[in-house]
Amino acid sequence: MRKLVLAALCLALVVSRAGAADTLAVYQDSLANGLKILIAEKPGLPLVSFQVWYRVGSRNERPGITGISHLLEHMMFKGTDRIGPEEFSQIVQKYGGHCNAFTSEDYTAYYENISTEFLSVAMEMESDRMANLKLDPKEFDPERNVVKEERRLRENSPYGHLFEQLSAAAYTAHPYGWPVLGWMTDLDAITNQDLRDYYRIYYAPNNAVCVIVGAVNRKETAALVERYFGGIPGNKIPPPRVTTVEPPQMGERRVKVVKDTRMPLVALGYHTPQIGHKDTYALELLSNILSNGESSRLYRSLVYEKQLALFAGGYNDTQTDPTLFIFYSAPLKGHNTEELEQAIAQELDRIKKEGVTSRELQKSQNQLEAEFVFQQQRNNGLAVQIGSAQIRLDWRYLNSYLKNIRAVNNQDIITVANKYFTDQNKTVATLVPTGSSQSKGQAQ
Amino acid sequence: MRKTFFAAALFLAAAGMVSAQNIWTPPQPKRISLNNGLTILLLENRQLPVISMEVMVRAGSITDPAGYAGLANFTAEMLPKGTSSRNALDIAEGFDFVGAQFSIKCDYDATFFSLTTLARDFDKTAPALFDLLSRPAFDSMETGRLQGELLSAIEAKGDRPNTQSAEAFIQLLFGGHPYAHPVMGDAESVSRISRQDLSGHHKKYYVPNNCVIAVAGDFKSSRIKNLIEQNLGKWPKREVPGLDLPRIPAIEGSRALLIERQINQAYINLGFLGPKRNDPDYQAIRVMNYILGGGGFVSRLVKNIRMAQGLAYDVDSNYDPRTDFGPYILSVQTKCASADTAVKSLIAEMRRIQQEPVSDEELQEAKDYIRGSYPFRFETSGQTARQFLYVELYDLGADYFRQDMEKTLAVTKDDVMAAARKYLKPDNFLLAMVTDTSQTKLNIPGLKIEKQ
Repeated sequence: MRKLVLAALCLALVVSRAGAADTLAVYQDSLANGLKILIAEKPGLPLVSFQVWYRVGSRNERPGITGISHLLEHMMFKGTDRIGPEEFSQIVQKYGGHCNAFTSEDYTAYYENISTEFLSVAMEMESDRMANLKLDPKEFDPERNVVKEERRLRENSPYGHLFEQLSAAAYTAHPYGWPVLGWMTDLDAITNQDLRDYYRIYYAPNNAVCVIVGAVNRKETAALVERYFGGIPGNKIPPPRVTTVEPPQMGERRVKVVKDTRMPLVALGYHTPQIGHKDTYALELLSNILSNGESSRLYRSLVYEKQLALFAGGYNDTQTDPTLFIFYSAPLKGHNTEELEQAIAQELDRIKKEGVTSRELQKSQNQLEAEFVFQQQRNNGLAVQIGSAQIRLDWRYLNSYLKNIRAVNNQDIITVANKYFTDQNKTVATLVPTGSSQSKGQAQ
Repeated sequence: MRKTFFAAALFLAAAGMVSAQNIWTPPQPKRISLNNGLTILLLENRQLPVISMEVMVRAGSITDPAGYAGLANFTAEMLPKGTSSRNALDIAEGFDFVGAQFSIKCDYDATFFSLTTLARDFDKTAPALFDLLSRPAFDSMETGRLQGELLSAIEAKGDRPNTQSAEAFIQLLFGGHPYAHPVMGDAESVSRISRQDLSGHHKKYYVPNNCVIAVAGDFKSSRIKNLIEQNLGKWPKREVPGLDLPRIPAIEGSRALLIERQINQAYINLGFLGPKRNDPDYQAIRVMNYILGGGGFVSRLVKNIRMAQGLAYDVDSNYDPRTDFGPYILSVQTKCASADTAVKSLIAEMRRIQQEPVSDEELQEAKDYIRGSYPFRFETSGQTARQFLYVELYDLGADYFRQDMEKTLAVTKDDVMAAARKYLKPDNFLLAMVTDTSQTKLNIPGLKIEKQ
């Protein structure tokens, strides 16, 4: 039986002073087997985005099976007793819909964007693969090769490889240190039985969230979820918690990647806090001010004025656990990565002392707000906002997000810059082309 | 067989019988004309505090004069580079500051300018767009800079074999007609374009009576109408010269152009002239093409050439109907040595759909797909506004979307066969192929082959 925990905020979209939709009406419910349901009614177009979010990603892995979350995501398209390999996407397409999936450090999510009329097709197929995935060994080996190919592409990309090494050095204990794609030897070692075990532990209704956004009636839709997912038993033993906390960094770390590539690159990572922490809003604005577009500080200084770099940027992905603020840049011919490090440090020092201009702050607040609202135009965009917030913290995070972004002032920017952009908290990774003097260990 | 898809099968059988009354169609915009001939379409939608404006100017690459391929695109891209009262930086910063999305797309038949903002920012952001449409400066330094960027973009497009094959086919099909060249033009023509050419093109085509503005989103129609009137009400009307388009050459007997390249795959484009956009057979052609090669894995071309014969990964058919006809193309990539078999299979599938009725299942699948995917074209305010503009561009009529869906659902197997007989030309086509010619033997009766 479905427990009616309609703690729903039955509010219509409230239009704030600022004009943006500040309060989302999301109806929450859950089934007796622990499946969480979040529904946002978006009348108008007869479309719906149906999404199943599993609370499992590379963060839940362990050495030896890194990459298994992503591998399992691929295998979810390889069929059950009722649906053959690759038939899943074909059935959705047949009704004019589109489906896909994505895996991150924190979650694995599956979605079908489809005409509301065909919503139950999506539900039926998602519930089928939540409970009855075949995991046929004959399908596993070819798919393992597809994923290894993805991994090789990453290794061949200078950025991909460098960022991986940056994370591996910046995290000493926390699982964010290994890549979502996994290490190659782990991809080789993972067995079909490992996949079965992983699927049994994590792909249970009590470890999942159903997000439904579109032209639906919440009561009918919740009943439909009950009909398709209600019969799947929850796991008696909940999945193991991730308890490791990355210890504070006690000094600068440096890694060098020597590779047959043309262009040197440098990437810097600073540890920053997890979703919901008050400093994350100022950090998000700072990343926008430093690196969004041609008027951003890093572009203007390193690329345009000093003409040291081909490109320069940075980003801060807020995640379930503390993460990294990453900067990256590539030197123009005749310049080197040390100069870039210095130039980035200069820009950060300026912000530590003076902060940013009020126009810069206002502009980046405007941009984050517009981006946030524009994303909600599509059912899929809103559902992704709800799903990722729910997995990482709580969907209600979205209702205070813009208010928190708007509340940031210049002093907050100065404070976070001084708190996080320190040498002690820094990891530097440089990509050195083979054959260059640096690759032979000589000083330039 | 696994095809019996449990409970959903029942559910869908019921869904397949949706009556015409239950068909979703988008709401209709309010249509206003100003005294200077400017047409405005307004659709209020209060779901989110967002406003999108799409401006269509009937100045696509079809207006490029001979020898000036790329002029329409170059002109459109120049507009945000400065006006009499705003420089390029002011314009970019004005959009950036409020986080607006702004883009320009020059297409074959028209050019589109798109602006999306939060509702509260619209009134202060839109005037820059009105200004750049009606009063661009064509600054000479900015012209030179953009010319350089366009030339590098043309170069960056490079010579990937699939692009090369597609461009060769279009050239073969359209001859001296402006549809024969890519919208961006080529390095030679773009280098030739001067500041005077750009301002001349603007003067000729950027007049209110040649534009339609569609706005959708969170607003009151009277306010938006006033805003447009204040900014563009005095934009003077001027007669737009008619297009003197060269006739598209008729195809007289099947011809192939083989382009030599040391590669292991043959990139094949085979086709002929397709319908105009306002063709009354449009819905029958759409259903027919879905079954033939437009429907991905359920299409006959994929089932035959990819799944049954394993000849190719990518194979499809599509038509792009425009004001003055448009191409109908079947394309496939295959090993050089399999080119002959692949082309023969394309021809055989065209003949089959001309000679035998399609199955009930194929017909139903095509309709389910079209009905199910239709609303996705209207997901955002910007997409909705753009759809209204297409109706204007091709003069499809105010009730078009309803009629389109009703006519689609009414298409019969006979209609499909009639459309196939009328529009597919298995005995009179053009073919462009980029391939290693030493490994490619084409043995198609009646096909004249030329090598390049």
